[in-house]
Amino acid sequence: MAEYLFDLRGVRKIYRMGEEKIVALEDINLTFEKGKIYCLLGTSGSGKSTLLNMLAGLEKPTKGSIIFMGKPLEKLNETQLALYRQRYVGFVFQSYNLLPTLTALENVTLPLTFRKVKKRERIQRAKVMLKAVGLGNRARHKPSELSGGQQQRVSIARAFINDPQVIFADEPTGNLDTRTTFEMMDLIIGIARERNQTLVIVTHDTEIAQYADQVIRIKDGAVESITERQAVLPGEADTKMTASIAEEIVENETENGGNENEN
Amino acid sequence: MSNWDVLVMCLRNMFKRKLRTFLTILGVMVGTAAIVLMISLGLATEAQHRAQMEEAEDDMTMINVWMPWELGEWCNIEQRMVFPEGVPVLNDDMVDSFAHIPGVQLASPIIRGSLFFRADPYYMEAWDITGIRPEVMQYMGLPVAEGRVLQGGDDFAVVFGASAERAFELLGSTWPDRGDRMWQWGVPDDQIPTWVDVMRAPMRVSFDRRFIQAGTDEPQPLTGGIRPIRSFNVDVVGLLQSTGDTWGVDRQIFMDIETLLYLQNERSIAENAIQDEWQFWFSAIRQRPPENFENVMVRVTDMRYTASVAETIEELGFRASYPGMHLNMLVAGQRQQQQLLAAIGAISLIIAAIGIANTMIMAVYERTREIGIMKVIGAAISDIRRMFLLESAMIGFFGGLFGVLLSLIGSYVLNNFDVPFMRPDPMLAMMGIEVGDPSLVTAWLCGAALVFAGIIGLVSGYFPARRATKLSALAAIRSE
Repeated sequence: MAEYLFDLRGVRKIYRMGEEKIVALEDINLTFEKGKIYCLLGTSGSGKSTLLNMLAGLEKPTKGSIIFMGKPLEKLNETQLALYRQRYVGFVFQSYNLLPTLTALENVTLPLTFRKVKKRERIQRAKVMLKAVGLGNRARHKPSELSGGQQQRVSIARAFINDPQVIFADEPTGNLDTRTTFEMMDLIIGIARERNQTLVIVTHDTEIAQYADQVIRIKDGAVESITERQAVLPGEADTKMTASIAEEIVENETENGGNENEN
Repeated sequence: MSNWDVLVMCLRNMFKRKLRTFLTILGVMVGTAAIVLMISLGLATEAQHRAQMEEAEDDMTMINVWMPWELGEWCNIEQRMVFPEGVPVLNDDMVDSFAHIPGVQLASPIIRGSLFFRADPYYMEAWDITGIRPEVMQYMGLPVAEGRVLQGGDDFAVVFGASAERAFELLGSTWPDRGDRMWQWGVPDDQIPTWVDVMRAPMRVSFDRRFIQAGTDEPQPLTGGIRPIRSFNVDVVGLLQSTGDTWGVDRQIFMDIETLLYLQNERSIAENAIQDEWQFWFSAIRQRPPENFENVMVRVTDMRYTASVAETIEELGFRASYPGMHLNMLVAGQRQQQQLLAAIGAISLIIAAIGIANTMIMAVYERTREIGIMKVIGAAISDIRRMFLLESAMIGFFGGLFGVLLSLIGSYVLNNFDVPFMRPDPMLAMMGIEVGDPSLVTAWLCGAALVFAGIIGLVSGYFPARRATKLSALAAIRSE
């Protein structure tokens, strides 16, 4: 049995607002495999972002355990978590979150800077990465000089430059128009597939969900359903997903929550 | 993050808010310059003081102690000393207790008296004979022209001051027909003839005036014809170089205190043996019992102790003075003034430190989101902390650097231009003390100021930096 990348066991998250307790997540049991593309689908307030934050080590579960490659994340201290994010995690945000004072190239090199990679090497790698996202000629521009789509490309390049095990994308296309959305999804999924990296997308958009190998529907802090996409060749699915297939996925969602289906 | 990357990031952040960074640095600069300039005034005073002390190094270890009353105040008509109850006296016990004050090397009583000398065919009425313990003379720092100073075991041995010889007159001559070489104004020393080769001429000494009255060795009988003239052989063991103190040391003759006291005692015996009207004939060794010395000379082991030992002696109820005492008091006053100024400088530096803290807290607020992003994409807590600490330390350091430069300029202005409130104390000029530059910025001071400013920056940046590291990455990234 191959080891899971993430193994969530009975994860609960409860926020305390004074006297009141708000249950954000309740008894989540999930596994994530290496190289697969996951989508956490749900409306706002469903708890999908909380789940993502816990996977990224930004929040700790109130109960339960998140095991990453055999190690429980919730037991790591701040320094170890920083190291975890530095080594294994890439992030793509809805609002890009580029540092405004740095150029595109410098933004992309930043994770390598934190890893103490030599300057020459990190610039070389960043240039390659920028070229891969189609921004080879924009390396010296500041984020304010780039369009939304271009900024998101920089952000994608930054997420992948570390060669991470997993990339978390939190509403990556929320600020983009439809055309750019598809471009961006093709780009991000193309790179993840090419490098055999795990991608976890959080979205409320069912159109985005159709890019995923597995769609995990979350509602009111619980897993509502898990849908495995069947028999689609990776290459086809990534680039030429049609609306009809997406609808099919949505329709095929079953009532089986909680358990992991594996091929 | 490597140190270099942290530095680059810091510089970038500082340049992003040029005006704010500049103003903060300006604050530190003014604070540093203020404190450096204030300290430089103190250093200049100290340096000058030290130079003057070194000039008079030998003297600086000598303290002169005397009774706290005017001479003769308690003398009755018979010239006997009468002391009120409770007045401390300079007796042997007191001299001993001076010797036990920490820092004191030795203490010696000093008496003064007069004797009659004869080196035929010349005679001398020596009014300025200083009786000291012979073994302490070497510590008085008096330069010897020929022979040696007094040393332990000397009794009927004397040391002549440079111009003491000029008091010799031809036997039988009386005023106004005498040589009076002592009183020639405006004649250079080397043009005044020497009559007696004091180091070689045989010399005798007596307390009896009859000894010098006749041109012969024959004792002249007193009217009563009772007593013969007594005189003693005396060796001149040394001749001092001129100290420039024409009316002081140069005219003195130094002698063993015990011998002088012995002569005094013999004089008293002779005096008591005749009628009062004949007392005139005897030399005026002051009639003072040895337990009440006129002066005590105290030598300290190092000039560092001079002031404190003098103070201790004054507390015992005596007057104490030493060369440079007035200068010392003046310097103490100046030092106090400068401490006040330095305190003002320190206040401005504290305000600058608050300025740094404020700037850094603003920077944390402003960069909350950036901090969050950096944390999420893998910045370690130490990276964030280093970034903020280095930024505040650099503000401190650059402030210090420019402050030091400003203070160098300020120091130059103070030293080279007439700044009204920096004019030297007219007291100094009155005391004949040459006044040097008012400000002295040493390399040591510059270095200390730089390090101190950097530390101020670090300390001011500590809490803002801690705040930055404590920020929740999630909350930070959501803030706008």
